[in-house]
Amino acid sequence: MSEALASLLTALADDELILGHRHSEWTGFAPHIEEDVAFSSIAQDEIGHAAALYSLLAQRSGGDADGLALGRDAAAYRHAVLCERPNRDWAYTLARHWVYDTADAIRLEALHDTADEDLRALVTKMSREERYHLIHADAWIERVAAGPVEGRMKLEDGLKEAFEEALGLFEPIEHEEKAVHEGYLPLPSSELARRFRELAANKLDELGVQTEIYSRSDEAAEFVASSSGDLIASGDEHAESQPERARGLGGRSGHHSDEFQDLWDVMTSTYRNNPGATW
Amino acid sequence: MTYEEKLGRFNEHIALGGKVETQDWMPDDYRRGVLKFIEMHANSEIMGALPERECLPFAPSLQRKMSLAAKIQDEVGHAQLLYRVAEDLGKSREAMFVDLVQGRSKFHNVFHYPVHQWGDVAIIGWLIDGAALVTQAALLDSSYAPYTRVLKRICTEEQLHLRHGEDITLELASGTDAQREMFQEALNRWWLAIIHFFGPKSNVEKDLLLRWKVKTRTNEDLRQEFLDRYVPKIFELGFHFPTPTPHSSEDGHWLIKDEDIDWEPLNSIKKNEGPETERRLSNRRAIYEDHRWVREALSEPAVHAA
Repeated sequence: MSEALASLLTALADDELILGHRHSEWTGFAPHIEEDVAFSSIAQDEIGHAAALYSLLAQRSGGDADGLALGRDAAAYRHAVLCERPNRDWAYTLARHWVYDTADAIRLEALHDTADEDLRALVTKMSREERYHLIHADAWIERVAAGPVEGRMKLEDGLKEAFEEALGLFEPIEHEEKAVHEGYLPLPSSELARRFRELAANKLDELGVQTEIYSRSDEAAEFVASSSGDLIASGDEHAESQPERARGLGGRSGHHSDEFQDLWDVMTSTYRNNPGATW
Repeated sequence: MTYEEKLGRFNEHIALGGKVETQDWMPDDYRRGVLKFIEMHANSEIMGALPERECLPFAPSLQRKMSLAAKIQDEVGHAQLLYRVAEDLGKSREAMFVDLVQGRSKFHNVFHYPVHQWGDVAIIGWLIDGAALVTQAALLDSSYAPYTRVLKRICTEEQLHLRHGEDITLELASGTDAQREMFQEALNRWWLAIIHFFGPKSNVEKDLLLRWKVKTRTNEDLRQEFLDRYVPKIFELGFHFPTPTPHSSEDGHWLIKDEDIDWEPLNSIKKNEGPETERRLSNRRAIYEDHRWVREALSEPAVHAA
C-alpha cells in the first residue's frame, strides 16, 4: 500500500486510540453519574474508530488490528501529544474533548474527498458518531461558560492548556506531500489548521469565552507551517532550543512525552507479556 | 386506625404475598430497612465499577477494552437507577453519595479488594457477577415493588455481563499456560471473598427484611445455589480451589463447611477497613470535592449564549 496512506491511517487511528484510552479512564469515575455513562460511550466510540482504522491498515499491509494497537514500540505511535496528556480534572478533559472533536470535524470533512474508497466509507460512518461527540462537547462548553464563575475559570484554564497543544493535531504527517499529491489527504495539514483556528475562534466568540487563549497557538502554527515533517522530526535534537510555544508538537513523528511512556507501559502490558495468546 | 392496626394489616398483606408501593403506608422499620438495603445495592454498583475500571487500561485487545468499558458503563447505569428508587424512600441522592464517600455507608465486600491482572476481570465478570445474579434473581420477588421493577432490567443486563465474563474465562481456560495461570491465580485470591459475598448464616428470627419478604431467601441458601451451579464448571475447566474447598455430598451438592470459612476479613470490611476501601473511597471523595463546580454548573438554569 501507499506509504502515504499508511501514514495517514496510523496518525488517525493512534489519535483515536490514545484519546479513547484517556477518555475511558473516566469510566466509573466521572464527577457526575449521568455524565459517566455518556462519556464512556464517547470513549468506546473512539476506540471503535481506532479499531476500524487499524483493521483497514492491517488488511492492506498485513498484521492485525490488535497487533497494531498494542504490539508496537512506543516510538512507533503517531498520535498528537495532546491526546496522550493525563486527564487531570474534568475541566481539562472537557476542554480537550472540545478541542479534539472540533479539530476532528474539520479533518473528517476534508477526508470525505479522500482518494481511498474504504477510508471514505469509514469516514462517513465515523462522522455520524463524531457529530454527536461534538454536540456533547459544545453543550458542555456552553453550559459551563454560561454558569457560575468557578467553572468558567476552570474551563478557561483547561482551554488554554488544550489550545497550546492543539496544533499538534495538524502537524504534517509523515509523507504529507505525497499524501496530498496522491489525494489521500485532500487538504494539507496547514490548511486544516487554518480552518480549525477560524472555526474554534468563532465558536468561542459565540460562547463568550475569552478568545485571547488561542493567540499563542497561532504563533505555534507559524512555527510548524512547513509542509514536510522534517522540521518536526528533528525536534528531539533541538528540544532545548525549541521555543516554549511549540509544546505539544512532535507526535506525528513519534516524539512523545514521558506521560505517553507511562500510558503505553500499562496499555500494552497484557498484550506484550503474552505472545501467542488470543484474546 | 391505630399504629398497631396498621402494622397488623401491613404484616397480613405481606404474609399473603402482597407488594408495597412507595406511596403506601409502611412501618418505619420497613422503610428504613428497604432504603438501607437498596442504598447498599446502589453503592455496590458504583463501587463495583472501580476494580474493573482499574483493569480497563491493560485490556489485552481493542474488543475487550470496548466491551469492558461498556460493562462498567452498565454498572454505573444500574447505580443511577437504584439511587432513584432509594431516593423515593426519603434520602436524597446527594446525601447517599456523601455518606458513601465519607465511609459512612456500606458496599459489597468483593469491591474492597485489589485487582492485579486480567484474570481478575474473568473472576469478577463470571463468578462475582454470577454470585450477584443469584442474589438479585432471588430479589425479583421482593415485597418492595419499585425495587423489583428496576431489578428486572438490571438482571437482564447482568445476564449479558455473565456471558461476557464466561467468555473471558473460557478464553483464558483454553489459552496458553500463562493465560490459565491468570485465572487460577485470580481464583486463589478471590475465592474466600466470593464465599463471604453471600454473608454469614441468616438469622431468620431476627432478620426483619426476611420477615417482611424484602429478601426472599437466606444467605446460606443462596450460597448453596451458587456453589452447586459454579463449582462443577470450575472443576470441568481444570482449575482447583483454595480454602475453603468445596466437597461433594452424597445427594449431589457442593458443600463448604462453615468451620473452613475464615470470617475475619469480612469483619474488617464491614467496618470499611478492607485492603482497598480507603484508597477507593478517598479517590472518589477527591473527585467529588474537586468537582463541586460541575454540579453547580449543571444545576444552574442554562443561559443560551448563541
